[in-house]
Amino acid sequence: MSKTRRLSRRTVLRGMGAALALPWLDAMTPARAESKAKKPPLRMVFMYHPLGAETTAWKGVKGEGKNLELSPTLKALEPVKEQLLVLDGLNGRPHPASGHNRSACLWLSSAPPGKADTWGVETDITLDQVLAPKLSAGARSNSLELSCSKVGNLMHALFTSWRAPGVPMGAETSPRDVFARMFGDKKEDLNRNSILDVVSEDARRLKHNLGQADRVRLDEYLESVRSLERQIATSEQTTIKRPPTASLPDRLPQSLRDQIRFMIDLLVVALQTDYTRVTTCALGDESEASRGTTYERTLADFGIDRAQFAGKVEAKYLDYGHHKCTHDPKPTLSMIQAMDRWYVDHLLYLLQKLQSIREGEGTLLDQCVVVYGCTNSSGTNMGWPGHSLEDVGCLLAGKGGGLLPKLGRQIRYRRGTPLSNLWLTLAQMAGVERKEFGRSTGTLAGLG
Amino acid sequence: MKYCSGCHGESKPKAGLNLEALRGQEKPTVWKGVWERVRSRQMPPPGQPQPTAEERSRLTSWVEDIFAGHRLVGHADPGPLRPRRLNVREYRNTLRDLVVTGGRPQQWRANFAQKPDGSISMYQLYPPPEHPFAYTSRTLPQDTSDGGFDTVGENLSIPPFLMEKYFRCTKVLLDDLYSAKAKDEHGRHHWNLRQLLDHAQLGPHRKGVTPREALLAFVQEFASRAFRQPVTPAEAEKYLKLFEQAQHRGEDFEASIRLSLQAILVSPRFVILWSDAKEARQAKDSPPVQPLTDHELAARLSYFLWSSVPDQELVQAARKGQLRDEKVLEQNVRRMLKDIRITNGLLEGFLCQWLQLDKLDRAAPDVERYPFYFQNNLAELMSCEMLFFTAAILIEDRSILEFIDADWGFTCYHLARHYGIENFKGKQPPSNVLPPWYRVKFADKRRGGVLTMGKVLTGTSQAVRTSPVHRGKWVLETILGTPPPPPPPDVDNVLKEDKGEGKKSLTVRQLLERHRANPACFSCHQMIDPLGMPFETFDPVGRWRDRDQGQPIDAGGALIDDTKVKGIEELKALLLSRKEEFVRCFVEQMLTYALGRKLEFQDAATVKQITRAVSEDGYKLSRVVVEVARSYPFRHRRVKEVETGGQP
Repeated sequence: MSKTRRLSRRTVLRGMGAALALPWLDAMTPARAESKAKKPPLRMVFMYHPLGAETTAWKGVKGEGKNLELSPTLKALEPVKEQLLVLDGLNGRPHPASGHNRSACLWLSSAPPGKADTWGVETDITLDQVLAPKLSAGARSNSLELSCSKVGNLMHALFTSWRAPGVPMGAETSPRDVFARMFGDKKEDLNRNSILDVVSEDARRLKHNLGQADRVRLDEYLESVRSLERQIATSEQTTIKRPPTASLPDRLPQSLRDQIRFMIDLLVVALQTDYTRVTTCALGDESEASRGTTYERTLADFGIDRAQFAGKVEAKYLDYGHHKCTHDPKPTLSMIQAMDRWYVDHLLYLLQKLQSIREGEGTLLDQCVVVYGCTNSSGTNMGWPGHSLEDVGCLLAGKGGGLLPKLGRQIRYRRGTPLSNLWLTLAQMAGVERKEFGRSTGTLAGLG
Repeated sequence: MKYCSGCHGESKPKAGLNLEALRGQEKPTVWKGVWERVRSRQMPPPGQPQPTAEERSRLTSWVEDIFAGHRLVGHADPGPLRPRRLNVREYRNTLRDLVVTGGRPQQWRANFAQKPDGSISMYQLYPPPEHPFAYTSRTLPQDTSDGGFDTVGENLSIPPFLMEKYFRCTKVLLDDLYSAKAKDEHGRHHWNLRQLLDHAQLGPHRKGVTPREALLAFVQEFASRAFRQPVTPAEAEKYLKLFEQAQHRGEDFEASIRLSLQAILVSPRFVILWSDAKEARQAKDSPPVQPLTDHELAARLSYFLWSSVPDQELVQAARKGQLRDEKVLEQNVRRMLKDIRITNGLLEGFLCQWLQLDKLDRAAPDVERYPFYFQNNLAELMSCEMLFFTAAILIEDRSILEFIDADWGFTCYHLARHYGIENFKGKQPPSNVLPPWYRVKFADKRRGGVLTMGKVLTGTSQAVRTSPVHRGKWVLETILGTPPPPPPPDVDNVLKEDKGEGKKSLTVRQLLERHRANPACFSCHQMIDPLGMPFETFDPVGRWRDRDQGQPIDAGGALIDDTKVKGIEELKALLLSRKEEFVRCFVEQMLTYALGRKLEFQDAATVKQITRAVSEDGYKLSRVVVEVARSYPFRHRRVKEVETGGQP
């Protein structure tokens, strides 16, 4: 381990580019020369999987600890099962009038009714953005938003992170961009600082001339300036954490699976190098799917072998996209479940990656709370085929620096307990003073 | 009212709407809903007693008169002009005009004239020239287009990471400026900015002008163009200071001037439209509505038509204060329509988004059943067909009614074969890349207009079957401007394609009829599906067919108000006979695009006015554009906030 670390990172990365070997960015792990005196900071990762898991195969977790028996969909998580906390019985929110394809924006917010943005969708500040200022104080960036989805023109379907009603945080979709953002260049930074001085003065002056309602974009602009300034300032102070010669492989991975893994690698590097401590990562989106015409991910996109469905699913369904399957779940049940498992594999990849990195006395995963879930659930038992925002699957993983001491179990909540209660509990655990969040009715018992 | 209160009355009002209780009250939001439903003939529902056309228009006018005025102390409300960032398309075009062309006029030479071999000339339309700043679309986050267009301000917020991306885009640009990319084949710098820069650096300068003054003048000039506002020497000094600081540190000219240029290109005055409103700054007692300044109007015009900065002529006209003259305004609009920049502007921005080309592009017919679709590159050829047709209406300034039906179109060898056009004269091209295109006259009414183009027919179909639902929805959204509401949560929106009671496969019509039997689906699908049925004579890849699943096609359909049509020819004829509805929809869409905001109730008067003017000028596309540019909300801004729903 120590020998490969010493290789020039550029050499290693170039080599990997040619071989396209996984894991992508392992060689960038910096040497373990971090200060051991300080307690490692708490990190939060929110991973969104689109369209909701099919409930029959998701449910059925039994036992505890070493004897925890996972459900078919979660089976892949066997190697990390003692790090999991499966939450059962939580309710997203009533079905939004805007349709369930505009629901990614609602996962981490659950705004109370009547608080719709100009599009009639009840967006609000999301949990990650509530946590970011507190947790990421001292990191280079407040938060990092990643999306593994490239299509779609509905902002409410694309973005899981929002900073105010109607205002998405946006998301990075290109690994190159994320990389450039995390590892800029020193000289460039110096120039940028002097330019930022000039333009932020401009922005303040312009703002002065505008009415209150017209100032929104200027405020956003100034916030964007501050965000970059901070990134520059903190990266000046934390030179050791920055691999100066790192570069991306020349060829980025082609398959969807590898593209997502690459994003997850970058996410881990961001946490590990303390670029940020709060990240959201959407593995896909629901946006165009309900239009019926394609661009949904199909078995071919997932790289799932069609042969395994022989005899179980009629051939004509094998070309169905994910969303279409979930609206016709009876004949496509085993396909939906395979797709759900496919997404869970990425969670496994993330958790194992976090676990492989030592930090302080334990692993990086010990300092994280990873939340895996979706606004929707799906399946045949919803009373109708399609989606429900009730009884959604939700997984937590990682000790969160001691916030979640007892893992490897399932907690059942009374049906109808709002998902917002979980967000409120997490916010309070992270030290954010809040008495309510979205549609919360209280906090969740039994987590700590 | 007598038609409504049966359902929306005192007792058990449907949809919670009790119109009796609203009588005499002035709640614009509720009445707006009533107005929309009645106007689009969605209400009263079919099967109920219908008001006459005259009664219908009397009700809508009544609502409009009382509520649409929405007056602001004696002024009509033009709506706000909210600052918004440039969208990716605008950003890309703006860099092109600032850096490469320098805003010189560029005549559009695509004229569809016949070449000796019978094919047509589409210079610079096909193949389109490569955009010098195409990379910015990959670096900047993709824009959403909720509300139909990427110009709608709510889509254009500035996420915290955007600043960093602006820096990266402009760094690439400045690298290019000093690289071979800015040189032509003779090694000369052909990028306008580089020429100006070299001149400012090396001279020769005019007598009595110091090198510093020359440089300051250059910065001032460049900033003025980039900011779409005259910049004072004092303001330019601030940017020049960055240059001087770098010189002081011992950097060379190139490294130093880059700082000034980059600062201008990441400045809020550049990336945020309508942010520089010092002239709109008002005293407390100033009127609530102000006309745009000359330079703002020039910018609004150029972003509407070109999605880019104003060119020299427009700036000149603004400087002289001539744009307020409606004649000059119209002249400029007509001049701009003939400039090549319209392709990356109105054509790509408005017309393609209005026709939902990006969504149609996602068609994926079944590979095994339709191999020729892929072998002959039909997806791209169909896009071209639609684009050329649209471009021709623009270039030749035709009637927008030809979008619904026209007896002419463009085609190439493979497409003509696919459509079964008989009198096609072209020969099979040696390759599928850039085949020659021909103008054709259609023998019958089966083809012609966008409705029957392969792109629409394929883009609204499933892999192996047609989808009257999506075809109907496309017509409702694009042609009639009355998008259906989204499906309720608790319905199954996939048609089960299992067998009917006999052993025969069901036709799409039979599938849909079964689907509509579900009452939850019926209320909306009764207006969507019948509109898609006349398209059934086209298969999932847009070929004409007479049979589906071995059964003869029944292409009988109906419009929302239950007017029956049979077949595509009748549908087109019916849509044409109600051309006012289409024209209003088209005007609404273009106004939305131009204003960069969703239309409000108070805009109904403007839409009406433009629609009337358009119908008086042969429905010419240019007339729509001119009228939108001349319209009140386009040339004014509201400078005070009003309470929505306030008293008129």
